Amino acid sequence: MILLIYRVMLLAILGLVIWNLYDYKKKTDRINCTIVIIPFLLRLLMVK
Amino acid sequence: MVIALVFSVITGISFYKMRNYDATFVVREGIVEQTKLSDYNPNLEDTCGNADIFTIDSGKPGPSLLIIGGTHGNEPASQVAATLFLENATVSSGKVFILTEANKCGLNFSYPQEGAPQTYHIDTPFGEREFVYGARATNFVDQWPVPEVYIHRSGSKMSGQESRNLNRAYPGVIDGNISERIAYAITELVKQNDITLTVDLHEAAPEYPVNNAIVYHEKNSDMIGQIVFELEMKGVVIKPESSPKDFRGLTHRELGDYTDTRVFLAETSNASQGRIRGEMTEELIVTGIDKFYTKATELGITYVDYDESGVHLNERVGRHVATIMTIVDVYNRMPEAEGSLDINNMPTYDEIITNGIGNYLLNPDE
Amino acid sequence: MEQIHDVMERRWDTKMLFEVILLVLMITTFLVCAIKFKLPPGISMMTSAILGLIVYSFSKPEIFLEIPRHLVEGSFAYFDVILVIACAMIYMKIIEKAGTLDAFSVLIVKRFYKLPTFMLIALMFLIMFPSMITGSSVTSVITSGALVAPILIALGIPKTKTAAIIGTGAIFGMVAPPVNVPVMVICEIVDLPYMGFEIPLMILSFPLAVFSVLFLGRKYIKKIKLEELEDKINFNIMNEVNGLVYLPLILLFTLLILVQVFPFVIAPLGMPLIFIIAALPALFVGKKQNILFTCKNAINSALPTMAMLLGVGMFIQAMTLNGVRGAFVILVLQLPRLMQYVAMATAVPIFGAISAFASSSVFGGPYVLSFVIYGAIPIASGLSMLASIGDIMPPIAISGSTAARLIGIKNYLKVFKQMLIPIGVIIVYTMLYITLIMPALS
Repeated sequence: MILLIYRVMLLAILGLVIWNLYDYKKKTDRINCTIVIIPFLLRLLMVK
Repeated sequence: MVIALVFSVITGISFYKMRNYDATFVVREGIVEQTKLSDYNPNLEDTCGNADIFTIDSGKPGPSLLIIGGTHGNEPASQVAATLFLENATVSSGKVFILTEANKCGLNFSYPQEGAPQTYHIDTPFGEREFVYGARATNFVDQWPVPEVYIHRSGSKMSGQESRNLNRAYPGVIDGNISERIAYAITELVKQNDITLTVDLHEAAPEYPVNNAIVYHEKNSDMIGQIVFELEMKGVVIKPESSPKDFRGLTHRELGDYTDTRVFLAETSNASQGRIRGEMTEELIVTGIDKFYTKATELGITYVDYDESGVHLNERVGRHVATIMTIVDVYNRMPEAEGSLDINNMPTYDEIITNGIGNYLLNPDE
Repeated sequence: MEQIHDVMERRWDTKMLFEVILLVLMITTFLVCAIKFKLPPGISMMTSAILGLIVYSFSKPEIFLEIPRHLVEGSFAYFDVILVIACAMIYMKIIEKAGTLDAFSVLIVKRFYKLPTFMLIALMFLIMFPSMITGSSVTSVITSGALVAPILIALGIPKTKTAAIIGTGAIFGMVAPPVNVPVMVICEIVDLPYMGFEIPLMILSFPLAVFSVLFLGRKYIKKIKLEELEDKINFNIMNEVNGLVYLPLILLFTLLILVQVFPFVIAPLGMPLIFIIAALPALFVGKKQNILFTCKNAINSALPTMAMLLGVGMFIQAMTLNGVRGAFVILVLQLPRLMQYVAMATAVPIFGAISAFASSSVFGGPYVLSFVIYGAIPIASGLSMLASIGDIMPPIAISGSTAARLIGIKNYLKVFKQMLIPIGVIIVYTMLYITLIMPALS
């Protein structure tokens, strides 16, 4: 149950990060987003 | 976004493969029987924690022994020593239970910030045999989220990550987190089979104080002196350490308190899990050769001496095998022993060092 | 000839030349990226890790294909911390928009303006509270730090000093009991139960916390007149909202306390979920807000810190794999005995600048062992304090720079300058604590 809630939270945060990614103009901000997306995606899919 | 996806897929495949890696152990037909941990805790069904329990039963009554290998995936001597018993031992009186992957959920991933290879290889007459180099704790994917502080049922506080450590979870909880469930199953295995002797195999970083040591529950005080003496006769110098009363969740404390088994925990020295080591390679895992530990020994900050020849896996596995055999020998001579536990066909410490562990491993492809 | 041979033997350092070159290379890469190209610390760390691994793969070609795996794996080390940061930031932004922050400032100032010294000390302990419970300094900065910052600024304390108070408060909270993760990490290494640390950790952290806040802030708030504060604090907030606006704050602190009282029931929720639960009432009380945009802004503010921690994870993974970590530790540990004290006082905080947890896990074992005559508990506690200083050490300074960003200071070095004397005092006091104070008390 807790795991499910956490996965929903991960999905929500991942969504917000991606939303920010499309709003960012600076390259460095976009790279920051990319760095953050990878672990969130892998944990959301329960791969790592 | 595309870059993120590409990286996620590339690395995801590697993580996924390791998570679903199925280690093969040779089960000799007619000698070894196989059951599962879920027989002792149904809550392990369909989880990564449902490891095999191998049994070698002589059919004759006598004392029984449980060998716990693979509690911590980054302590290879533990798993390899248990495998040596599984693939060589015959029992002519009494019964032996073997776990080669006690915490299977710790053997399906690598721990962040260790830079560890996913597998290592041991030379054998039939070529190289592959073993997994896992992690000390249960996979995040199988036990997550983790609380900030882990409070053992006894009230003892530990860092939250320790909630994923099988050897802090005993005596276990039937429907707890996955590590607690595994611990519960092992405790039940001991209880339901009324196992006489339990030996939990581990390795430690060279700078860890409990090293080349045998930790015993206080009810084994009557055996420990003789065990240490006889091991020394075989060329294995070992430190006896009494199980601390306020260090909770470990086999040597909880199985001793909660069951009738006589429990011991054996430690050997493993440079690859240390924090002072240099580059992390497969060779380091097997040979234990590390220039930084050689230097650290000179500086007097290791509990086991390291020189240019390292501390080889042969020596570490040899120590574990000799320790188990000696514990059994000493117990067989105790007045309380009803019958004897006779384990045959196991190589001695000297034989393992001379011939190498590879000579005692069977070919999984045959 | 023999003499030359002897010298060669003694020059053991040449054996680790490769690792030392890698160490220098990784540090230089980081500095060049961060200072010359002004890249964010997370990206600089990642670049340095990648280069460290590529150069290492010249000697071990099989590593080359594994580089992406190692980078991503390393980044997972702080995943849980990152999730806490993201959720804590969402919580703070939501209650800020709801008016809770303003209301809280009014409450504190009106109640305590006659007792400035007491107020400062009380605010310091408030800053420390979240990291005392969670064991992570950044939580304090983002939550209670954000809560207290407007009050301190309104009272007339300069922004740089306010950031310094919050940054130092966060690390004292991290060291203070009941939860001190670096000590727990050390305990695990040297086989010591995490017991009997409460009082030693209080003796270590509380006096330093009181000293730091008074040193940094006391002279600015001799006398407070409410009228002068009117343009700095929104005293009218209470006309817009009612007392219910405090609900998210009360709920958060209640949950944090309940974690200690009923650990088996509340602790499994985890900090991220606790923050989200505590934020929920803010949707119904206080000022109206567009919750989606608030959350998006929160993640926008948290992203640099999150990326930085992921970069740190990659960096440590790389230096663990290629042997640089070992080289660094041995370089420090082979110093002569007397120098060991100096080394401990400097190397532990410096390595802590990468990560306080990593520093205590790397140095914890050897130092507890070499200084065991002072007793394992004081030395482990002291080491945790020294390692925690790392969290305010540039260039990473995870809690310090987060505090600076929170207040809107671009250049963290300005904040760091204010902290130099407190840091000196922390180091001296900690060394005295290990060598004199604790032995005298026992």
